[in-house]
Amino acid sequence: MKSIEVKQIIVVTDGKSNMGGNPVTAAAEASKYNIVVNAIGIIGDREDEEHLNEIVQISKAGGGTWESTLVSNLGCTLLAVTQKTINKTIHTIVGNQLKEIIGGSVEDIPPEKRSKVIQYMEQLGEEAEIKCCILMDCSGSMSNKMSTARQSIIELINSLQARAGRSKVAVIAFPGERGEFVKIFQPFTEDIKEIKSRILELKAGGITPTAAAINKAVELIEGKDQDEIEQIIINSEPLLKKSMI
Amino acid sequence: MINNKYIGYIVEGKWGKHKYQILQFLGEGGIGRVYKVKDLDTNEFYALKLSDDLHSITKEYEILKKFQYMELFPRIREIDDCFLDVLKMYYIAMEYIDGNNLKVYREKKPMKVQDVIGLAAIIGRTFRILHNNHLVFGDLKLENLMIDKNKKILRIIDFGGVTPMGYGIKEFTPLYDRASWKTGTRRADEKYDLFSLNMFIVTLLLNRNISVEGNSVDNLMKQLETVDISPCLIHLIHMGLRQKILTFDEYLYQLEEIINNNEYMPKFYKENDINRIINFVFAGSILLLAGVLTFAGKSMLY
Repeated sequence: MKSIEVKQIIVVTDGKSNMGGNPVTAAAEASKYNIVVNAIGIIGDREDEEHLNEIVQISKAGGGTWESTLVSNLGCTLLAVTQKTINKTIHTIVGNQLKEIIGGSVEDIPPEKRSKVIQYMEQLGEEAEIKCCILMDCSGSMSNKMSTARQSIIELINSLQARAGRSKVAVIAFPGERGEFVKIFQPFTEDIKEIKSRILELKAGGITPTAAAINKAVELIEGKDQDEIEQIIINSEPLLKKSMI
Repeated sequence: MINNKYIGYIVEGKWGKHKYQILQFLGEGGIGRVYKVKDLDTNEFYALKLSDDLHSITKEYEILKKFQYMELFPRIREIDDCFLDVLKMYYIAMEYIDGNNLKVYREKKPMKVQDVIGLAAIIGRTFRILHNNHLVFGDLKLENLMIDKNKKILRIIDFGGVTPMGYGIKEFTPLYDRASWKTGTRRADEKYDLFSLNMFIVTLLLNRNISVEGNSVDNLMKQLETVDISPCLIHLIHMGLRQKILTFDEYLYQLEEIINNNEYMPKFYKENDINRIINFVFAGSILLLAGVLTFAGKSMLY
């Protein structure tokens, strides 16, 4: 039995997108490729409600979940969000199979008799192949959170590594260096040592082009042509132009 | 505040039709809350583990059911679905255990070495049975263990972390998680339980909150050396934390040897020590005699 593939983008940001297109539209586009877009908002001392609103919108458009967390708890949150996505994906697939076989859902089975289905779902989830692209906000405001953010990515990788199924992780930083919107910091790899040492080089400074990051991630996951996806940026609503340095 | 929100509510099972009234909030597990409830038809008390996660409740029920023959595990009554307000929920109704969890116990009074090691052996034997069934306990912590006031035995009350061998551990507490201490992976195997069991021992022996951040196993061992326990016990704990050399079985055997031989404390007056003291005193007496004779001899000269 071929294992199930779960494709996931996790947007991690501490502020609102302020350059390069509408991230909500980008997330909606991503979900057309069967990629789930989750969003995590890093909160600090000042409660920036507007930025959380964008987080919620991105996750809704991307068919994923959202969380808000202190950077110190980011590792846990990345894990929780990934697990939720795996569970939801499996639940939907098995739910459809059940509908065909018994004409109902797992809840229509008496509680004591559910364990076989649950065990089957757990096995599918464990053996699923995960392609996870983390979009890390490296704008200026993230400078003092960067070292904890790096650690949290390593935390996630540690947990994914322990799974029976294969996990591929990529990291995209936004903005990139020298004025680029994004930088593929680490293309998809299963080499944990490589990704762990690369992560340590992540630095912060610049604006927050969230949409560009999402588009780059889709490209990376699907191996698609850049131009196709850039059309989306041009055609979506422009955002606030205020730079955050 | 939110824990008391449902006090007084009546919960009715969709399939079994039992009616429970929620009386008291007992604690929070990984995926749900546990309440003390009363069956309105029989007036019996039960513990109700309520969760919105059908998947986890079903898994935990299966584990409990499989090991009902072990006294350590709570007796289960039933698993069922219900509604709480408009929320679709799932529950396991089980035996209500009167007592405190080990975290509360420890706060009231620090535990003696013998008790800590005794509990560790009981937990270890339980883990071995799980391992024989290709399962790993996973989420050992003080909050998951209770002393049953009536039966006067240890009870394990949360099985939400039980994981099939070879799978990734999803429920964990950094303090007991070997990956957080950089001494292994988060993949479920018997050595994962070996590490958490020894961290359990260390937590109780040091009797203080241990932080993982910037800490190390070596550092913990240094602290442990200041506690009044035998070197062979310290050595065994170190081996357990490192998870090298010993299998879980071998570790358990050595732990039980320590219990059988009562080797918890450092022996201040070992056999050879007593001999040394006798020798010292004897040598001292000889010197004293020599000194007296010399003095006497000298006096005799004058």
